[in-house]
Amino acid sequence: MSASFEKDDPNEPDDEISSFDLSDEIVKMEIQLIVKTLQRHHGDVQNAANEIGVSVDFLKQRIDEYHIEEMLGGQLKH
Amino acid sequence: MSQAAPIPIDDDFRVKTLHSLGCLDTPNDARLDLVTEFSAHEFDVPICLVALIDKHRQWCKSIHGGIDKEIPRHISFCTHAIYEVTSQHSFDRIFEVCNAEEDTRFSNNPLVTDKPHIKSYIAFVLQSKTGMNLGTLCLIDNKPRKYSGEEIFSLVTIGKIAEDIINHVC
Repeated sequence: MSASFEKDDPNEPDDEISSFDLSDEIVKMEIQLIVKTLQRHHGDVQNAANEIGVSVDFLKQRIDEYHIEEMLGGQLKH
Repeated sequence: MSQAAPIPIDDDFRVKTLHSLGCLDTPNDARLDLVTEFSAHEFDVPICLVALIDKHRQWCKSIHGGIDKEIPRHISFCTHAIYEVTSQHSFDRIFEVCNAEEDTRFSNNPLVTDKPHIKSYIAFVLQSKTGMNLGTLCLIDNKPRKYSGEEIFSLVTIGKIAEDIINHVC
């Protein structure tokens, strides 16, 4: 998923959203969701992928991208 | 014959929780508008909403696309979503209608037979911090559609962001 986003009108005032980077928020939320799901399944990647409803390959790709195995102390069961 | 969604047994408490947020009938929030606009582009749909279900109406805090800001609750798709979803687990909070014309709950719904001619609908149900269903972040398309697991993962992610904003900003 691409998290890039550009406003239609770059001159539009955006004081209210200047502190809200949606791309960062998406990454933070994805990490939280993956970590919490893996923790519920005691690090079992297959079961976490089943709960999320994605393929194991997709989840492993995200785990690698966000270094989630390191966050969980290398406790994942692949 | 289209069917209105049943009313949850805890609806009075749910509505009280929604009212306590002070979010209804307030001006647009720039961050939620960013979320709905981003989602519409990301999922390639013409309409994306952050909708809240009040006692007798659906009221939209943010709209991208052509749909009324407020509609009666009995014709609202999101009312079905908040009735059907009973889990607090993020990935169980999805309600999907792949083809409204073939779904007896919606086939005669005026939102299907008339503008905006809804064909597919998917929602992530937004909850209060106490787990009460408040409304949805939903995607509406005018063609039938089945979302993939990866798309649903993305919708849940963005939905959680919308939920945080609703719970912390309103």
